[in-house]
Amino acid sequence: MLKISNVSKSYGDHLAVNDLSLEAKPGSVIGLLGPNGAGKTTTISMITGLIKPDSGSIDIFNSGSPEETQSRQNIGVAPQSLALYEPLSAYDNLSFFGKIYGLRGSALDTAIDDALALADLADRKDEPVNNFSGGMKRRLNLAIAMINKPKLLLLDEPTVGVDPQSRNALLDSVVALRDQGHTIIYTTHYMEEAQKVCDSVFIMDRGKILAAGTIGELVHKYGGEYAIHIQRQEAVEIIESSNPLVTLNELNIDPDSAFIQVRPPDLEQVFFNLTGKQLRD
Amino acid sequence: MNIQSMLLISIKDIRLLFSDKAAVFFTLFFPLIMATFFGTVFSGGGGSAGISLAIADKDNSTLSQAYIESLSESSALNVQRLDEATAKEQVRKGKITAVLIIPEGFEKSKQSLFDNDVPTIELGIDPSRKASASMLKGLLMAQAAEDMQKQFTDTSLMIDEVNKGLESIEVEQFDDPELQTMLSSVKTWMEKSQQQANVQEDEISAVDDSNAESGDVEENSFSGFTPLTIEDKEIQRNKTGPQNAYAISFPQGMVWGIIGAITTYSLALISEVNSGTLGRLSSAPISRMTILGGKALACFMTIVFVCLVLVMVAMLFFKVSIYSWPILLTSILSCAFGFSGMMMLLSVLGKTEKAASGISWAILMLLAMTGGGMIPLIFMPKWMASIGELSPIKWAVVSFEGSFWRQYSFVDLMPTTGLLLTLGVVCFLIGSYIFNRREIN
Repeated sequence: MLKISNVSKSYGDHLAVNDLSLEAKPGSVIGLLGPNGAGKTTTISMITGLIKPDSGSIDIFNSGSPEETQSRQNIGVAPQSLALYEPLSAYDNLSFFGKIYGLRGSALDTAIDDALALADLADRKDEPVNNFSGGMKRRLNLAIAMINKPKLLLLDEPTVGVDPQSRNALLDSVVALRDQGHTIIYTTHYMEEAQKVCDSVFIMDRGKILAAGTIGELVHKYGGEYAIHIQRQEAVEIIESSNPLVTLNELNIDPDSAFIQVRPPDLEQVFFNLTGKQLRD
Repeated sequence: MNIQSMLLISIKDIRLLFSDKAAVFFTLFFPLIMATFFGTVFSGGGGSAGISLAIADKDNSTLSQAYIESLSESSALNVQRLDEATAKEQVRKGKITAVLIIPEGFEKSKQSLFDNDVPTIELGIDPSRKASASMLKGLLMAQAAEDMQKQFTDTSLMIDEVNKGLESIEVEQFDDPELQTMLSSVKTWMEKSQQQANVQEDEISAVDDSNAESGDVEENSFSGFTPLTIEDKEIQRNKTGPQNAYAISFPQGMVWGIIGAITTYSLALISEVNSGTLGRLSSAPISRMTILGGKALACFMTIVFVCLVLVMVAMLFFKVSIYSWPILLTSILSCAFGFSGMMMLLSVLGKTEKAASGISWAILMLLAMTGGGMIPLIFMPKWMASIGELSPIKWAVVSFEGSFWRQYSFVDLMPTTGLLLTLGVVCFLIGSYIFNRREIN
C-alpha cells in the first residue's frame, strides 16, 4: 500500500526528516506522533508529492512515486491549515475538488452527498464557508479529503482548534473510514486521539523515528511503571511501581486519610519518555 | 496540461474575485471612476478656457503686436503665438481651434485707413467648426474696431494736434494760405468725425454683445466703417484625433482595470499558498502547470471582461465610438495575454501577501506613470514619453487608442501586440520556473 524507504529531507543545515522508513497496510490507521518540528508535516508533504525527498523512495499502491498522476488519484489530504475557499459554499468547495479529481455527473453528486454526510454539513451546504465555526470548517476540511474516496488518506493534525464535540465527531469519522477499508496516516500530538484511532504508532523527533509499533507494544516497551498518586490534603506524592497492588499493601495507607489514584503507563508516558519534557520551539 | 481542470480553476478564481468586494472595486469600478473623472476633467467640464487661437504674426509690427496683445486680454480667447506652419498643423490635429495669420503690411494698412486700404487678416479654421468660426470672426472684428477707435477715432487727440499746427502757423506768422485752408478743413472733418464716433461706439458695443451670444457676424458688417477684412482659409482637421476626452480617458481606465486584475490575481496565488489550498490542489492529480495555467486563464478572462465592460460604458454613456472592432479585440486579447503572464511573474516576487502587494504596486505604479496610465500620452512631455516606450502600460494604452481613435491598421498594431505577447510568454515562463522550484507545504 504505502512504503517509505530510507527517506531523508534537509532544509539547508536542518535535517527535517532523517532516514525514515515506514509501511502502512490497507485498512489501518498509522499514527505519526511527535512534538513540533519533529518532521511530521514534511513527511506528509513528501507522501503527497509536494516535497521531493533528498534521498530514499516512496511507493504508493505499487504504482510508483507520489508524483505519478495515478498515485495522486488515490490520495486524499486534509492539511493542517484549513485549505478551503471560504467565500464559496461547502457544496461549491466539494464540487470543485470533486471535479478536479475527475468526478462528473451522478458520481460527483453521490460523492458530495457522502462527504456532506460525513461532515454532518448537509443542511448548511449552501452557506459560504466564511459563516462556519472552526469545528465545521475542520469537518469540511476532512470531507474534501474524502471526496475522491481515496485509498490513502493523509490527515495532518485534523483536530487542531476544535471543540470536544467536533473532535469526537472527527475521530468517529476516522474510525468509520478505517472500517471502510481506507488506509489513514494520522499526525497529531494529542495522545488520547492516537490511542483512540491508531492501530500502530510511529513516534518521531527531530526527523527520526524513535519508536514504532502498536500502542500496547509501545506502552509495554517504553511506558515505564504504574504511577500511584497519593493525595493527602494539599500534598501529592507520586510513587512509581511495576506492581501497584503490592506497593499499596506495603505502604498500608488508610484509605480514609488519602485520595489514591493508580495510573497505568500510557502513550503520553511513552511519548515523554522518548522525547523528553523539554519545551520545543 | 489538463484543459478541463484549467478551466475549473479559472472559473473558481473568477468566482473568488467577484466574491471579494474590494477586488471588484479595484478591478472594475475604480477604473470606471478614473476614466469618467479624467474624461470629464479633460473635457473642460469645470469651465471653458476659451476658444484656442494660434496667431502667426508675419508683419511683426507695433500695431500687429498691439492687436495680438489686445486679443490676448480677451477672456473668450486662449491665444498662443506660433509660426504659421506649426499653427496650421495644430489646427489639423484638432489641438487648436483656429489660426490667425497677420500678413505683412498689416501696420501699413492700418495707418492708411482713410485711403480705404483696410487691413486684412487670414483666419484658418476647420470648416466643420462653423459656430467657432462665427464667434471668432465677431471677436476679431470687435477687437479690431476697438483698436481703431483708440488709434484713429480719438478725434479729440487729433483735433488737439491740428489746433497745435494752426497755432504754430499763427505764432510763426507763416504765410501759407493753402496750408491754413487744408488744416481748417481737417479740423472741420475731425469735428464731424467725433460726432460720428460717438454713434459708432454704441454700435460697436452692441455688435460685441451679439457676437458673444450668437457668433453670427459677417465680415465688414461694421456699420459705416470697415476696421478689418477677414479672409477665410479652410484647414481640414485630421479626423484621427480623439472624438472627445473620454476616448483618451477610457483606454487609461482599461489599463487601470488590468492593473487591478493582475494585482488581485498575483496576491490570490500567494494567498492560496498560505492558506493551504494550493497545497491541496498540488496534491491532486493535476500538474502544477495546469494550476498556473488556470490562474493565468482566470486573469486573462477577467481582463477581457473588464476591458469590454469599460468599452461598453464608454460607448453607451460617453459617446465614444470604436474605429475598428477587430483592432480593439486584438488589442484587448494581446493585453490580456501579456499582463496575465506578467501576473505570474509578480506573484512569485514576494513570499508574503504584503511583500507581493508592495512589490506589485511599486512596479505597476512606475510602469503606469511612465506609460500613460496617469498622464494621457498626448499630454506627456517628450522625455517621459521616451522612457514610456519601455512600459507595457504604454503598449496597452497605445493599442487601445489605436482602436479608439488612432485609426490603427493591423500593421500599426503589430509592434505593440508583438511586445505584449512576448511579455506574456517570457513573464509566464520565468514566473512558472520560479514557482515550480518552490516547495509548497
